[in-house]
Amino acid sequence: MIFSKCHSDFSRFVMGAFVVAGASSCQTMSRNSAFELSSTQESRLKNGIETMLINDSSLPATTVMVLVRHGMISESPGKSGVTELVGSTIDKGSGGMSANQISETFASMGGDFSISIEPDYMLVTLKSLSFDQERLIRFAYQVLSNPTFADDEIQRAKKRLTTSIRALLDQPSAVASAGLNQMVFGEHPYGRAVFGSRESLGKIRRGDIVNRFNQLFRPEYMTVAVVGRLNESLPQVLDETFGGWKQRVATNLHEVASPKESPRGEITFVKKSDLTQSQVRFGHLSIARNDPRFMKVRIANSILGHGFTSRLMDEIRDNMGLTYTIQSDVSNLRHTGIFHINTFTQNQRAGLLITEARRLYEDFVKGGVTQEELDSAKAYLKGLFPQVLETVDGQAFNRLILKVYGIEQSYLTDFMKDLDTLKLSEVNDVIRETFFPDRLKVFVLGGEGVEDQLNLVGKVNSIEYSEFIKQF
Amino acid sequence: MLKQLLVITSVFGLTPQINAEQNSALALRFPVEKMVLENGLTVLLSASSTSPIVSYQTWFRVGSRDEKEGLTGLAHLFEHLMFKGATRYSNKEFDQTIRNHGGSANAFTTRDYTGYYINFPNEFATLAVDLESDRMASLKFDEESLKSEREVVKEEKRFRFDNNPLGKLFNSLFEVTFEKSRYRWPVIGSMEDLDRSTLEDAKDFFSSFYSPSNAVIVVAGGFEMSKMKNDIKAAYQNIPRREVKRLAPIPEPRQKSPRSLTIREAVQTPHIAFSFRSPKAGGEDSHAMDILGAIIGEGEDSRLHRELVYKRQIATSVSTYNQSMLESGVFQTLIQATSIKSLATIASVYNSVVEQIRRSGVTQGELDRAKKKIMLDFVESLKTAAGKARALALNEVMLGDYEALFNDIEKYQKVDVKSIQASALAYLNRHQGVTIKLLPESRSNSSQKGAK
Repeated sequence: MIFSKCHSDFSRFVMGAFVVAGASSCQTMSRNSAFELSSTQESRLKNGIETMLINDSSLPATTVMVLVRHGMISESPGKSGVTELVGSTIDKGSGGMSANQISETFASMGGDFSISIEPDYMLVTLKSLSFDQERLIRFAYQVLSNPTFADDEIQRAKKRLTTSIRALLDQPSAVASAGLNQMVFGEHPYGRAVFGSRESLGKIRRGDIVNRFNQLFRPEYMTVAVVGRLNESLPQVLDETFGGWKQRVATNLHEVASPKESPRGEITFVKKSDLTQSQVRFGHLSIARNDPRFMKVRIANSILGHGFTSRLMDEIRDNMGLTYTIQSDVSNLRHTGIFHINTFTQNQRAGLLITEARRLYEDFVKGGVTQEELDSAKAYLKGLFPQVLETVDGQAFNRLILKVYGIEQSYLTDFMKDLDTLKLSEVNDVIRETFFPDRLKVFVLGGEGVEDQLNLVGKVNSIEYSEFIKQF
Repeated sequence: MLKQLLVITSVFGLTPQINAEQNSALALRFPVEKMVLENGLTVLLSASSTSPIVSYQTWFRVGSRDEKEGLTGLAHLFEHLMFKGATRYSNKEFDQTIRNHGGSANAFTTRDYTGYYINFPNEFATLAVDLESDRMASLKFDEESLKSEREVVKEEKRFRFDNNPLGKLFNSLFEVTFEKSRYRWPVIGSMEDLDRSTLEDAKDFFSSFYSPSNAVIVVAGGFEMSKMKNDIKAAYQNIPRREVKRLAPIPEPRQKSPRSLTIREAVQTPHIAFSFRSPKAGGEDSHAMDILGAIIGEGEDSRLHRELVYKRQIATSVSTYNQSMLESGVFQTLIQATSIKSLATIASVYNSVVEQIRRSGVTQGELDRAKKKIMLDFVESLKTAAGKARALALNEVMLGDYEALFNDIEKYQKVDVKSIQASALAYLNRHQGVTIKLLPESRSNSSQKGAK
């Protein structure tokens, strides 16, 4: 059997995805001196597009990643969702080819076209068996460099996106995370959903999409990474394809300032009567990715809320049985960052969970961490390093993320050494500088009986679910 | 420019068929050594000198199909208890030891099997042997840990199913597809049964199913072969074999007429799902059914996506898959609709797509593309040490022989358009189908749920 289609699989704990380089979740490091990153060949095509090649001949597979080092937040005011619409229509027509011809051709190489729209970047990923490598790159270039953006395809995409937004509202976890983002970032673009809203999508025209494509897909913003079993002809193929990418005229990217946050803690409660379990989110602003305290913040967070033995998991799940999982994380972005705690519990225990999680967070900031905890966290992160970077796909992805945030590639090679030099006093200083219990925003999406409990833990801003979701 | 245009044209015109050279490139095989200890423990070892990771996986041939009625969810609840400590690594020491050595660990429970894994930097491979053999030999849990984990599991159930309409739909698919078989109940179990389970039940479960003779250990990645063999022998050989007390499977009677269920929840978007029983794991037609699933509803080039999502625009996503289990398979499709009023058309299109394949078969192009997808999935699944270990364990547990993994590509390649049509005729009979609808609650009857 090749596949295990296990929709009924259960894990002891929902693990977050690891990214070494930042942007989401936890960075790691190698304790294993034998582990070395694969040799990476970087160069620049004649038009300025960067290329990254990592050869790994162990399996007959090739992955192509096309990175654009800008994302959703540079959308112009009133155009929320236009980047998502570029991503949804870019492969739905090119030259004389229809959407069906394109999807069929990608499928004939074994894989689908996928594109990820993030606040700070966009990433196109394509995979094939290695004997289709040249064909994949030539075809990817043809599709990406000359998208049609036909009106009927735009209408299709809008319809699909608006239905998908409605479907997301059926996921309490997604709604709660969006609610916290809004509380922390306010009107700043980081507080918006990448897919925009049903209202904003309706106002976007074809010209907006074409302009957005021309804004983003510029050689100066692009890196093409090809990893796997690479053919000798690959540099020439890249030169013949992406080397011919032309820069088009477009308006400038919208300038984004750093967000400001209310210095007070707040509680927002959204009531959805049918829920028997409350989704609870805590958060406040944190540091940007290029802040020199990045590594210290990440290792401190791993002690508080990452993995089975974190302080939060140990007390809230293992000792009190209040939840199935509780995790804290710091998402470090281009202009700022967000510290957040994600968890859930049955409605009847929401107040207790919030009280206990806040208490643990206050203790963490007041008392700092111990040398024993720091040593354990270093070992943990070092061990995860080869796991996250085990494949050349993982290495390429993390290297590309570093490029998004302007971090030197030596970050990966030096990380073990840098991690080892971290001192307890430095980590505890950074905890006091960047973690703020008094600024903690709390967002709760829950059912009956929750509001009374929340009123006992602070002043609550209550919103009915039907009102709250109108904005999406 | 002309050169580029010519190249692009020829690229587009290429047929996706796989030639002999490509086939040989896909004849993937990596070295595996197998040993069976005197107590019946099966061990598969695949060492790679280049891997920085060692993935140590222990799979037991026990899942929710082995539960008694009235104790549903026990297999999964027991999986949680396996992290509550043993003789050498008590309670929290297990997780803390793994963290202190840079490892990660977790587990999963399905209807057929339960798997535990620890991934370590390869220098700590031996530590995994010590941790896992300790809990197989001397697991310790008490009333207090059972009580605590029961609450954790109940929160998991509320998260994945009770407050997740799609989770309810998935559980209903099995509940309606199977009338008698133990596959009909959800792996997570019911709240009542979780509350009913006792310490004695958990001890019985361990005694009945966690014998070394019911386990397969797979180690893949960077480790030294002879040392690993010796360590495993030394650590496990004295764990006594116990009789595995498995319940006899309950035969599922032949379905004689279509079944349907409508679930009403406070949802924004309606869904519709279809299900048929398909061949069990290792069944003669299981490869053809996997390919058929890809042709019908996997990817933007699939028949359902083109017709429902692209052409008619009455659905936003389609997913079809064939899942092979030990006693039966299920061939299931999930469709997210744009509105309630489109559901009737979606059902009609689904039935006509299936009937058309039963009547006329599929095209060679569809078949070739589906094979390519499966091959790429196969290669992708083997990129990590954990992926290799999982693939070996799956084949050993489900098919009784890890070697089946290396023969799979050839079996998929042998599937032709005739066998696809024959499989559709054999298994996709509309009189033996199941339809489940997930609809928004009607305003006049907002409390109506789960009406059959």
